[in-house]
Amino acid sequence: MSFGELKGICVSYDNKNMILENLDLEIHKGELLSLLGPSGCGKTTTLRVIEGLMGTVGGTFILDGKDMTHVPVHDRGFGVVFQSYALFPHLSVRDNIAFGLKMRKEKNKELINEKVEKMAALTEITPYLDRFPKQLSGGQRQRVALARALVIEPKLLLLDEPLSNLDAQLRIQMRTTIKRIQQELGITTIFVTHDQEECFSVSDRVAIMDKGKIVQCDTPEAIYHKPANEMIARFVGFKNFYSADVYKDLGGTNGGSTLCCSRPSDFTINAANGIDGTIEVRTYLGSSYQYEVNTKHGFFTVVATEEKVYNIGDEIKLSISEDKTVIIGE
Amino acid sequence: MKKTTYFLFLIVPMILVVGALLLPLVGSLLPTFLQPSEYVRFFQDEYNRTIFYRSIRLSLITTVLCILLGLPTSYWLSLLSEKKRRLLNSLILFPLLTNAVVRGFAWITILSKNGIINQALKAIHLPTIQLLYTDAAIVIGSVYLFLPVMVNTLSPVMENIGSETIEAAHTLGAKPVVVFLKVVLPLSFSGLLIAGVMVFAGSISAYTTPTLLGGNKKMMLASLLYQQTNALSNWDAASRIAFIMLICSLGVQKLFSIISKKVDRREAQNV
Repeated sequence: MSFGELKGICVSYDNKNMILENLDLEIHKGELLSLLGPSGCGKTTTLRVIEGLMGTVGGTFILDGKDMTHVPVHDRGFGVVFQSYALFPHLSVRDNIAFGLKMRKEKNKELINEKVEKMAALTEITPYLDRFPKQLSGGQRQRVALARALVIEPKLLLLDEPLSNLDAQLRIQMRTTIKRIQQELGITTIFVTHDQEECFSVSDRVAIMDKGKIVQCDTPEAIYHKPANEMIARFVGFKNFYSADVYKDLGGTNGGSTLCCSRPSDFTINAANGIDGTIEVRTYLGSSYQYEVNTKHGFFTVVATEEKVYNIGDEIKLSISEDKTVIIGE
Repeated sequence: MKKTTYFLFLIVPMILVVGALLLPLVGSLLPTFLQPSEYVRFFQDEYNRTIFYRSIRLSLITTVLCILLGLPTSYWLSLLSEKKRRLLNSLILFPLLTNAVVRGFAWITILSKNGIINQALKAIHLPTIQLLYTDAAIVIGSVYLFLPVMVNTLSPVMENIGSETIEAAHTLGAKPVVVFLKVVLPLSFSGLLIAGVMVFAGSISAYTTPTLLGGNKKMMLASLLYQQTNALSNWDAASRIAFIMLICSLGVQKLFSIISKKVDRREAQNV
């Protein structure tokens, strides 16, 4: 049996419109599991159900063999990092981190201090322990929030878009930090994000959500190479979608009545067979060029290296090899 | 905008503040300072002392009751949805919208000898109690009057705490009562100070409600002041009472800010 499991979770505000509908999700011990999807897909709601901050109208949540469905928030003992960090402004960094330990009726001050300092060292905030949240930068606050959630040695670490308030450079730095700490502590982590790159770079498994349901749950590699539907394919960078007939014209063989898709960089230009097209738009991407190619089957987005540069108006032939094409709903 | 332009905008309010607030205040208080012995004489009079202590006592009780009732109410309001909160907030304002005399007489019909409460006691064959013209009546009327001030001052403070901060405390193992004591209370303390001073200053200087509900037996400083001006035309004595009331309010404000600085270290640390 798995470490944790959401089974048939239903959430609704008015018993008519379902925000989550029969949601099933398995949580493996020690993994970093991401919930990924566009805004409004129910990923934050799912996290809130796990946190215990959102009531359900049906379903169960089992963790480590224990039914957690009706356990109140303050008895769950999960570490939560909120999007706004939600630090206590009236407490110093030290007291912020110690808050959870004090709530656990830990009386031994030395033990509290020891744990706080160990966690501060791990999250690299030792110099700021006696400051107040207002005196910290966004990245530092994020680390304090992480330390505060981790110091209680939670069974689950829950992160709700923890990086969305940071600038681009800090995001990359912080996600590496989160991954490093997660691996060091071996803590089971659930990470909510709408950023596909961020999510794939750190996750062991990704659950992609859409309209209150999980549409695919697998390793990042599996999702990247074999998206389950068109929405996911678009999410992971597939730009060209076409029918099986077009696929045959492009050089493919089977396909039946299904939808095929391919990434812009997977096309071969000017091979023996293929579809004729005219280049209409060219954009420079740094090490490559992206072309919008007009064919009798509509527009294709193609990326090619700088080796051979084509001009607007050039007539080219597009083809694709079978291993580069993904057939959806096979 | 340039600094000078800002200054131009400030001229009118400044004239108003000096002309309409400071000048009358100084003008009426200054003569009393020329006879400081009169202040001593005021406190030597036992009748005056009783009224002074009663005013302080009842105003403090009113303030404490308003805090005890208003704090949980405004916290509870802040947890509601926006729509419900707005509706309830405007309902809470209702007592402030009715006329003070009407409000006073409404309480008289409830508290008097043949009022609703005593009628009910009679109906179940219990002895009636004297409610009207007691300290309790003044406190009840004042709390009714100033609770909306307390709740409406605290509500935005509570909303500013932010739901995620409260949720964070819950996830760290704090039970609802503990969240209130360890997070909500310290974070709303500065607002509590302002609201408390407003309620105290309001109830020590209130005239209509204490006069109607306290009668002649249970006078407050404001009623005494009214007596000095309208019945005795002793303007200096009235000014002295006003000054004493002002000092009391300032004293309470100072007291509250000392407590607040001890509890809420947020601002002090923020150099």
